[in-house]
Amino acid sequence: MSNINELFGKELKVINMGLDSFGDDLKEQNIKTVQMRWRPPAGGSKKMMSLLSKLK
Amino acid sequence: MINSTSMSSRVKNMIEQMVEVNGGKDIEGFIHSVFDYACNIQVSDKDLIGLISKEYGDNPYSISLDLPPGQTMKKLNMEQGMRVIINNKSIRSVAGHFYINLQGADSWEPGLPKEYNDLVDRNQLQSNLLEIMGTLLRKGNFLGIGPLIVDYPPIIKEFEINDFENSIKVNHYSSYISPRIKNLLYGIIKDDQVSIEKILTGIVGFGPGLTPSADDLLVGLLATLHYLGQYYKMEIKAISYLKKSLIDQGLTNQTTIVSRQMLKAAINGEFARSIKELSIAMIASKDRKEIERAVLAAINLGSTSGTDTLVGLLLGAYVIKKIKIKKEENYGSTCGSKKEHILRFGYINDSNKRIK
Amino acid sequence: MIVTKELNSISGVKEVLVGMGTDLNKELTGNLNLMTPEIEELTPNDFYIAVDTEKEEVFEEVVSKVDELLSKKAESQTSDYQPATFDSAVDALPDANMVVISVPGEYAADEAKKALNKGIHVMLFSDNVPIEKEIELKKLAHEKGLLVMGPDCGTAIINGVPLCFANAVNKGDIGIVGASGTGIQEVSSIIGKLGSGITQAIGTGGRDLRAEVGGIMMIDGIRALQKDPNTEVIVLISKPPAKEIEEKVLNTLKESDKPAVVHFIGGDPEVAKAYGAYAGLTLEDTAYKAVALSRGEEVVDVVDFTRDKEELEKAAKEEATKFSQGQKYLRGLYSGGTLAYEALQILQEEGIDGYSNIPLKSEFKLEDVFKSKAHTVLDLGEDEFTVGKPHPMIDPSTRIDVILKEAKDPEVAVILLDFVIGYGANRDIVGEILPGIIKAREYAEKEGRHLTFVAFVCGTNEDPQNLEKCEVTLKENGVYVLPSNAQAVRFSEKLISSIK
Repeated sequence: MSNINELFGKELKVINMGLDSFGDDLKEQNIKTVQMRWRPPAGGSKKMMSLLSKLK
Repeated sequence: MINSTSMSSRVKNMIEQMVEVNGGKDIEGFIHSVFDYACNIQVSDKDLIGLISKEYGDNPYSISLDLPPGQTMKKLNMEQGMRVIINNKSIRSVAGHFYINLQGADSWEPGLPKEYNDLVDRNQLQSNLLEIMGTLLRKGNFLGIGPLIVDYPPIIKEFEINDFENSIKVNHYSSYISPRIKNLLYGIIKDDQVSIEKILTGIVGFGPGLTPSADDLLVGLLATLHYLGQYYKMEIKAISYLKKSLIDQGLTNQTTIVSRQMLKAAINGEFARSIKELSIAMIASKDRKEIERAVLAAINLGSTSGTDTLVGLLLGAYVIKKIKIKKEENYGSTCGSKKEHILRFGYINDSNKRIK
Repeated sequence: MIVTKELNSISGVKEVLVGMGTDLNKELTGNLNLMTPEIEELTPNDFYIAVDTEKEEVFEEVVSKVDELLSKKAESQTSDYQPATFDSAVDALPDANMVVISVPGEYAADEAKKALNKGIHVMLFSDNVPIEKEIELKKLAHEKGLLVMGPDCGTAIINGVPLCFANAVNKGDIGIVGASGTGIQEVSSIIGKLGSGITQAIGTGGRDLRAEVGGIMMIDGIRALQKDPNTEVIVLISKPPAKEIEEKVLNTLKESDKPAVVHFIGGDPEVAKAYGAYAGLTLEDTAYKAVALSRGEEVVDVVDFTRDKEELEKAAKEEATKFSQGQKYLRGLYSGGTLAYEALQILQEEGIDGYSNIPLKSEFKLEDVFKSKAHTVLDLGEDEFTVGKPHPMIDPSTRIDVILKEAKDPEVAVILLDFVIGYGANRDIVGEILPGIIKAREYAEKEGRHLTFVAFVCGTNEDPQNLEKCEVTLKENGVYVLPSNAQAVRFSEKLISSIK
């Protein structure tokens, strides 16, 4: 059995990396979810900030 | 195992260089001081590497750690004097008490950007400063020396802010240091090296917090001197005067070890990530929301640290503006008299008498 | 670090100072007459508390309060622990089996790779991931027997859990693999509305069936559904793939006896039939056929109104009499890309070539996407409309602007809208767009014109927005609501063709 089939039988547990709303939707449905506080590896550049602002 | 989330390129390079000098072998250090969410590792006579929980933000001299809930440095069995082994991949105790994974940590540059694609015009800069001030007054923590900003009516007026909160109350710390800060600004505008040094003796190390409030304010001041200096393509002499006093004359010895590192970095144009991001936003962003977000992120540094720093940043912006006006006036008549400055700043208290 | 306010409020405290033992702090302490010989001895790295009080107990209380404040960790932005690195996230949820990634495309692939290397399945919502990276990720996933749904995958339902933009669909025995997000939403929702259910809905991302990627995820997905004991019927949704990939994919379907419904949107239905699969003619027809197979019923083409046929045809004729001279065009304003594409397909079958930003034929591409022409169908989720804004399924402002603009065009008779509900979507999309509809209609009326709105809602009654509630609200406000995109398009076409 592939790992995909193994997944089908299990409780879904999710790491959400990025948009908070996707994680919030899962939590609302009582799905075990860890929301990451992800930030781009760049740091300090204006480009980075505009990327961040797009996400929100 | 504890994972590190990020470290400044300064710390990364320092570790790499020390390992290289040591012939590629691990280096040793010892724990200099331990707090719940931070600790300092001494790696040479002069150099410390900080370890700090990521909630406190990224600093030029430290490695940020992803501490799970409930975890503290002390619970990791860190103790003063404990020997640690450091290499490019990890920091661990000789006795195996803890292991900090450095792989996967983002390296970020704390220094000044070399160039900018797009800087805002003067009007936008002014409105950005206004936005910073407005957000700070609404959301800041004014329990450090932050309230001294209300002693500066010219600045409040400068930024056309009238509706600031009455809840900002002066306290022992702010009222004690306020006149000295005024004199420092005056000294900077005058390019008066002697008085800058004299006044700084009465400022460095003052105020509550592990990084005393006054030091935070100086860092904010240095941030605008550096960044607005870049913006106006102006050499700010005051930076070298501040460096002379703080570093060469050893004034940082009168404050805490953490503060000393912070000031040393700031003199060289290196700032905490949130302060750097705000400074760049100040001169390069046209997005109010972006500025507001950057201010809020900076305010979140420590409890009063962020606010104290931002007050320094705004005072710095005011100083730069005065320096510019002075320079432009100097091309014409010889204006910029002492009297005029006293009028602009309000009454200057002769607080030097009180300094031993 | 230290909050003096909280200390000053302790009763019995006259003055309190807390800080590091720098000379200047000591100086202030002296000025407040709180100096003691012990404080004199402090160095800058010592921490001290000085309290002016008459009672010893008050001092103790201050000390313990300071202790408490000092050991309180800086508050992060939310109360939950939010790890910053992938490793820490795995530490926090050790048996995580799915990572949903929506970070900017340039970083997304690296993060996905970390997950795969830890044996965790990936849903990659991010777009702008280079195709070479996609190939690398999918090869790695294939080796490890893992899912990489995406990049640019907006919809999946795994073990009954809707991920990103997806609907709450009951469990059943129909398994879906699809390269189109809204395509999966429309098919799975209709299956749900018909009272059946699904096992899994696996998204592959739009580029999976390109020759370069080779349909890796589509094929792995099909095989997983074939092996899945709960899945009895397999549904496949995609735009027509590259020829060699089409063959590979359809051959894979033959590896098991499970019946399959294949819908290559805009493709030739005969292709699937040649491989022994059922061909879905529209998204709706695909859902109907899958449900029939699941129930062991006869499989028939569903290409007409499914209820109230005569009334609808009559209503279309009556409605058409209300238009003024010169009103003759349809404007379809979609938030779902595949739904817009399907609308263009159905209109073409009825002999209408729609202009669009995503046209079927290049000569019908709008020169200026902000200037509709003749019959026009727009995908408002395309980049040119979303610059600096969230997707129209979340933020309706762009769509409202376009509705109002179309209402001012004297040649416009019918405006067709999709309402995609479910997780990920705006929680009150109907309520937010309705004022725009009402305003548009009022504007047209003032100019002496009648404007007809036709809509359908893609979703289920189990969705947070509730399908029925949405439909009722629209109907109460004079909008014609049809049960599917296909029927909404056909009804709109009937309206247009009834204009004398």
